[in-house]
Amino acid sequence: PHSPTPRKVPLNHGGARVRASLPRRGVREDARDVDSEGRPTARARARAGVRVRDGDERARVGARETRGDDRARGSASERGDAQGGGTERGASELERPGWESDKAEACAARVRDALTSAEVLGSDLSDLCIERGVFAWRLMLDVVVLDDDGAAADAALSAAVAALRDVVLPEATVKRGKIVIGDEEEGVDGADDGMRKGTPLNVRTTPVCLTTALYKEHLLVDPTHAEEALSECEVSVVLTEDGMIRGVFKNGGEVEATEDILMKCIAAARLQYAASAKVILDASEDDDY
Amino acid sequence: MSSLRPDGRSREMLRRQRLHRSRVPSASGSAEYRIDGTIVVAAVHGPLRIAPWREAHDRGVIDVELSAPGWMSRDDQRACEGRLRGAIERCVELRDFPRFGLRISARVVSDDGNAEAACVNAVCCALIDANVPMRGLICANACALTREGSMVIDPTKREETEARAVVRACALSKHREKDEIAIVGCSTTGALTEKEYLDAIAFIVDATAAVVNIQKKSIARYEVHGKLHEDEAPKKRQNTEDAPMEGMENRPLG
Repeated sequence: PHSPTPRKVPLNHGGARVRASLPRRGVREDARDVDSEGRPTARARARAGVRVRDGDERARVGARETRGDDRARGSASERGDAQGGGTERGASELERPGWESDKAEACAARVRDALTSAEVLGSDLSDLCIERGVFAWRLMLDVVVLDDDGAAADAALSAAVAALRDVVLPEATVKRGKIVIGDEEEGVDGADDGMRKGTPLNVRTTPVCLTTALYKEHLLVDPTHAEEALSECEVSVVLTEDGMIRGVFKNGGEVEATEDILMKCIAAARLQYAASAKVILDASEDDDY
Repeated sequence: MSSLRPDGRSREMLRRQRLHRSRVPSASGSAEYRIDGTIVVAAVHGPLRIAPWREAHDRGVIDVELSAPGWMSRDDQRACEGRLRGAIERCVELRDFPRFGLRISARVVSDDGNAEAACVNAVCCALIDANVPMRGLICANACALTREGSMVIDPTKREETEARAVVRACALSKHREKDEIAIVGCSTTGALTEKEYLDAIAFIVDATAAVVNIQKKSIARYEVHGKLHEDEAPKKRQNTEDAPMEGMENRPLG
């Protein structure tokens, strides 16, 4: 592939920032065609885990007791609290360590909105209910961006969905007004045989996000970090398997998005959906991952 | 059967909108934008000097701070700030003040729906008040898809909560060679088809024309009467404070 030729090197005070143009021929820096679909594997690697807090002092895994009808219903209506903990970033040179950047918080909001709009756990989160009006599970979702090479929000959403598919809610019952996890009352400590006992979370949909960047009338699907810096605008589309749009996000940019551009971005997301969803499903089935 | 909404509006009607400029005396420009129960106060400081490590040699830098305590979560505020910054960067001529910065703050005083659009419109009016060079007027609105499938413009808080999906978008008002639909920024929540999304965008772009009228009338009033007379005008209108300003009354679009 043709190697990119840098045109100018403008310097910001306090550092150098090399801006390179894209190669003049129709090839991107990672050898993908300019108009081709991006590969399904995300270059922005993210790892997500779901913690299900335990009210039991001994185990520290499991449910956290919540009381009150409002709370149980609250965890259904406050979907943001139930499904979106936060994201951490620090994986690119633009992030300062120790600071919760605005981009990280905006990314967390986008992941939360995508999960909520896609009704991943249902519209009322009733699967998290232990006892109606009294106890409910609370899910804390943490996403850690290990390496940001562009489209970090896409990878974050995929990782979040994969983590939710991996969740096993412990068996919990309510006895004498308290939550009992598993076989505690029978005094059976139970040897840890490595098997997680409980009910797998019922993940109803698989939302996938695809970001498309616009650069000189070319649509770049799944842009890299360098391409994001050069792009004139970016449009992110979230779809589910039923073809419904669960989110369209565009944060300004140098170029306005016409109806034609929006349709192309949505069409690109539809084309890419199957491959991206397969990655999530394969990760869920792979026990060694 | 009547198709009026709970507040008596038709699906295409905007709520009463009011604009008061120069609300924050210490700012370079400010504006209070009201959409009935939604109130946003925006202030612009600058162009002013910024820390050398943040300077850009060829363009100005924009800092946006959105405060909506009790109305939005922290994550939502940061996400809204990002969209607001993107919209402002599109409409402001940043190359006219290189190595300087604009500090913009917006505070949601009250939220009865469509708060993000009110923030964008308030900031645009504050930029006008600060005489910041701009490419055009940026205006925003929102459209909610009800569970019955109909679209309503400028939803209230209750309508946003009960809707199947909400689409928020902002557009730049400028002369266009041909009649095209183009947006600067957008965000959606909920589930909708591609056709519904594109129809909602077209609906919002049509609605922004009414908002642009408000902003243009405000500019014209300042140019004709001057700032001093504008400050006196609210006192004279105390008896009719609830009456909407001309051009902003509750009437259908088009």
